[in-house]
Amino acid sequence: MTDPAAVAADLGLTPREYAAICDGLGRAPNRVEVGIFAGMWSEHSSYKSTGRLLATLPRDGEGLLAGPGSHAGCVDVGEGWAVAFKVESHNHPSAVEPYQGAATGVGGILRDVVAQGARPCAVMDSLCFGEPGEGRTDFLVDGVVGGIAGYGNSYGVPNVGGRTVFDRRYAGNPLVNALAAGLVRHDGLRTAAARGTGNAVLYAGARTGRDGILGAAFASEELEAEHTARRSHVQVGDPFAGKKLMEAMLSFGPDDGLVACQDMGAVGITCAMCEMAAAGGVGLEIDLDLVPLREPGMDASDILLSESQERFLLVVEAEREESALDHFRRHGVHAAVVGRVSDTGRVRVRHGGEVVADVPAALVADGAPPAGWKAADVLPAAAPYPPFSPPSDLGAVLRTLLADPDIADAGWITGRYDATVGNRTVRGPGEAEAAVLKLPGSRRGFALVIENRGDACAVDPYLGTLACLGAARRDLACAGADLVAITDGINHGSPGDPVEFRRLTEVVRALGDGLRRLGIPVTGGNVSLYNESPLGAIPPTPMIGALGIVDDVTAVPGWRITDGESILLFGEVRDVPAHSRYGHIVTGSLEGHPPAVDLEAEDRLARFLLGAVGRIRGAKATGTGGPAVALAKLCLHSGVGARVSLPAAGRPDWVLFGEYPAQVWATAPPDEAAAIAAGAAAAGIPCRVAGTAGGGRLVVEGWLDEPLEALAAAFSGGRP
Amino acid sequence: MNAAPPAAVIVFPGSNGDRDLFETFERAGFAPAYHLSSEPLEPGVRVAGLPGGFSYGDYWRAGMLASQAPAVRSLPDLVARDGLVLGICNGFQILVESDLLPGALAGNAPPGFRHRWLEVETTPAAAGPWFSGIAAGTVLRMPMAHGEGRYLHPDGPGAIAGRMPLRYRANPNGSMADAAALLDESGRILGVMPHPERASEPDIGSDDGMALFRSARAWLEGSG
Repeated sequence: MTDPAAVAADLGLTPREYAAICDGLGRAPNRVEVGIFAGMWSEHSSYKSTGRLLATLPRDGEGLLAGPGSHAGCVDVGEGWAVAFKVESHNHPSAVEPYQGAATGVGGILRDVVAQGARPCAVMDSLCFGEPGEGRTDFLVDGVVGGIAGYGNSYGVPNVGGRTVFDRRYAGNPLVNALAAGLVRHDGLRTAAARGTGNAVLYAGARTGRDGILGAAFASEELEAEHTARRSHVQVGDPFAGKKLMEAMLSFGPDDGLVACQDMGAVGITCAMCEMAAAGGVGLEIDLDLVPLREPGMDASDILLSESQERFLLVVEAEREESALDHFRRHGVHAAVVGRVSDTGRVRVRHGGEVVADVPAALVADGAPPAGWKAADVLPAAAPYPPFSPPSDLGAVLRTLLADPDIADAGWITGRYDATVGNRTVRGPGEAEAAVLKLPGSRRGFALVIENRGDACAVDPYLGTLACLGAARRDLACAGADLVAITDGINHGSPGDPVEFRRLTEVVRALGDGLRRLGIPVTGGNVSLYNESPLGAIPPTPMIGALGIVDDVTAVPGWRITDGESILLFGEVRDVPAHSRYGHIVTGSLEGHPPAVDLEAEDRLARFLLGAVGRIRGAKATGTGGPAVALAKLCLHSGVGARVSLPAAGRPDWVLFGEYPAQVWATAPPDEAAAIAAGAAAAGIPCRVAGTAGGGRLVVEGWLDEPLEALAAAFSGGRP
Repeated sequence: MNAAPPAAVIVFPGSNGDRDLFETFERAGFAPAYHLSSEPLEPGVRVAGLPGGFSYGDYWRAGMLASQAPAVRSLPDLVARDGLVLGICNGFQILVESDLLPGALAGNAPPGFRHRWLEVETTPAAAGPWFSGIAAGTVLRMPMAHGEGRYLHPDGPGAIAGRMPLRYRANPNGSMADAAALLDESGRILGVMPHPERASEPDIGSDDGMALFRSARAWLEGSG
């Protein structure tokens, strides 16, 4: 196949896109150039389906030092420090080769943080699989968790929490999203914008091999039954090389001649050179014969499209290139000057002495025609839960919920991750409603959560997404953190299906409305489309990575309940059906009533909780499984029981297990509880002193009376 | 007030606990400096710390390649000068691989990397530079984070009875005699599998690990 148009079609470019390339170049592209466009105009790299939607999101905010378009968003967290953070998906590679797919997902997002000049200090993961024990699920879970552990543990970045969901709708297309955060001084931020004609383009890191060629294009297709044959599209991670490269990169700054840098992730050196040139409005002259290679016989396209891991491309002041090469070699990292900055605005690539590609950087980086998908006028309405009578044994319902794979103790996963390396982890997995880390030599810190409610978004993508944002606000506040920004990982089916595209537009509309209501920006993120398999599309699954600021890490409420303390319940007590795990378990329906959402109430409650930090000792937001599950978890984490009473209701089952917004359990010394409740009431927040901690049982007067041992056995999920 | 004792934090390619160890030495009143493993130690160093991590990626047996590093080969000279050596986690593995401590660290039982907070207890063997002033039976809370921490000695538990200063209160990895740490005959070389350098302040979960560092500093100043 030598006809470029045929090659273009084979690599996934549409006839319209091919015409746009010919138009932009003023000629037909050659074969190598077709490969460049196929990679860069893939959905993964170009955002051609979502760019216009995402442009509607609020992207500015107080304290935002770098926003969308940067490697990772950067937010001021005080004392001259900024947190760089971003979420990234590695869904398709993980479906094919779970260990390497997940490992390189972590490696890739860590490089984004390093590219910003930040030292990585935390990783979180948000995973969706099919039902445990069915099909490939157990194999995928073991590989994905192993890959996340294998990369992060060796690299030396703590995994501070996450969420794992089991739902048969992900069986054919698991989701593997990872969030990384790093710390950087305000004056240490790096840029990707190349500049300075004659400056050196320096390659640093692992040598280039044939792994992961056109992985970004692979990520932009639906998974087919024979996708395991796509292993050559999956990259291979080397955390040891990644760690060495990180140390070399972080110790090489503007004082050493650094002008710009970008990691070589999706679409490898092609993406780095085109985006760096476009960002700086300059051109680059690149000689592929100078690229360090791992294997012989690689042609220009192989080198340009390889997604070999642990590599960076830098622009270095011309007079400093020798000392730069020395620096990287001293760190045990391959380095070579592979080109020069020019003033042409074009990326010109040589191989074997010949020019093999000559393209305008801006056309490649920003020129993909918007996809123009059609959205369905209406979404099919989800069927509400059929009516059912309240179960007679509410204790049995509680035990069933605690044993649910999404709710049960996740220690068998989190115990495989190092959560304390780096000496910043104030609250790690299973210790509080959010992960809390401290700044160097300070009582100040920041907190992170990652929210993921695909089941709610499947019922109503708009309300489900708002519920995610509400949970982020609430969970951070429970850990004493004030939400300041989010990064969004959007995971979706094929945009070519009008219903799926309508769901996507609803998710983004909800993000915009919710963020404006909360007064915070999105700092960037990731979009993964075509998450479909022969089993169908996944539920729309936005992953919200949220950052909050903690004024005093010594006062953070934990998942803690102490004998004799008073127990407060914030939020309205309701007994009406709403989307919930309870509704699903009783009716078997994956649809059901719409999720209950109230962002105003979330915001009010969060403000109050932040004002009460220090007086409130323990806090647990209600979430999946409702208030009874949240209180049970609080008791189980401390090994202390509780006796509470709730107002009379027609449907105690919905009171206990319904999932409603802006509900939080908290503990406080008995002599302060009434004053806290009164303060909440004055702020317009329903709040009751519900009972007292102590004993070995969880009692809800008149409704529930369960020994903690029985709840603990259920919560262990049957795992040792 | 004596001058802070110089401490060398040996950095192997792939070390990832070096910064934590540096900060904890500093907090305990040492004057720490990073030292590349490719060079022998300087004569002025009083204590050397081998940090946790994955030296050389630990793609081979953990600590095997790092045990050949010039800095490790210079450790006997440091001990001969009355200096001290602390190997934590991967550092302990390196000390065992280099025969500065006896026995072996095998894969955990049950297998796999595990991280968790746990408690260790000092035994009657907890004496000498690293444990002066810490009573036997003292419980210390610190995290573990390793995949190859099952301590084994070919001659059985009796061979290490007098040299095992810390025991796990609940054995997480199948170590012989619940051993969490080991001393050499002189008591100056300590290998410890869980992480005392991560238990350095209450805000991050515990400051119990500081006791070992403070003990070493007091001993060095006393022997001064």
